[in-house]
Amino acid sequence: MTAGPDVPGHVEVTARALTSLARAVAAERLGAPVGRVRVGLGDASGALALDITGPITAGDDVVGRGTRIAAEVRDRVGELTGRRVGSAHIELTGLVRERESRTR
Amino acid sequence: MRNGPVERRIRRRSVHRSRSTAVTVSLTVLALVAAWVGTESVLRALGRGPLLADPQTVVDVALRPDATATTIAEVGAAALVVVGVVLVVLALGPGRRHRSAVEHHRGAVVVDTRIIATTAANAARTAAGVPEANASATARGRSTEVRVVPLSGVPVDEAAVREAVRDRLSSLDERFGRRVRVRVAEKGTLA
Repeated sequence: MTAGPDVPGHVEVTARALTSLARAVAAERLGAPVGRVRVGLGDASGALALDITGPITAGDDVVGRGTRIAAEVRDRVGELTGRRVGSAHIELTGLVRERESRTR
Repeated sequence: MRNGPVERRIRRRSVHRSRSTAVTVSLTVLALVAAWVGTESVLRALGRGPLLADPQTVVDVALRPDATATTIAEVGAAALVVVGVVLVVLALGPGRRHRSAVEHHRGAVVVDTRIIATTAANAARTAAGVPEANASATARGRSTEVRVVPLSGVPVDEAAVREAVRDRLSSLDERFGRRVRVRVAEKGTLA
């Protein structure tokens, strides 16, 4: 990504940085520790594609929240990186209990 | 562009391939055949035996209507056809090298095609904001083709890239920027 025509040089964001960022955002929204969330980045016809795998905080309507979180993560990652994010898939692998996360 | 005869000649010689090799080879072959026919004619006129072979005998043997002679004659004819076609192509084809003459107020300036391609790729890279490895270009004669692989999620403005490439190439020589094709890959890379 270039910084603009009037600034010499350019800024490059590595794939690792993008992945870490998406991972942090996903962990924050899911309420899960970063270590238990995995994010794969891909390309969906020119747009960024997120593939999130991780647990979600316990509560009712897990599926509904998962869907909402996918949209939130997509918007937030797009906002932070300035890139068009096409899709965000969430694969829920477990539950994080409040007590469990507190004793961490 | 200075149009002195020397500059024009240098430009032409730099951009086009020399035909001297083909001319040398074919003239040597022609001279050898002519010398052979001439020698044998003189020897025959003096009533002596042939030095290598009598041309008349060679033709008679070649045209003898048996299987081997016919095959040899056919193979020879085919080889001559191929040689003839190659020579005609060499003679009539433009024989361009991978270079282009450039407008300059003094002397003859010739640019390698790879330099034009690299310049185009560089301009495209800057305009599209992609890493260096994501932009490549090929130049051929006056036309240039630029290929850009976008970063995932960062759309590439094809028209802007074309404009930038055209501008940059025009600063080299205004004729290079006329035919620019930009192709943006559908699938991007992460970084």
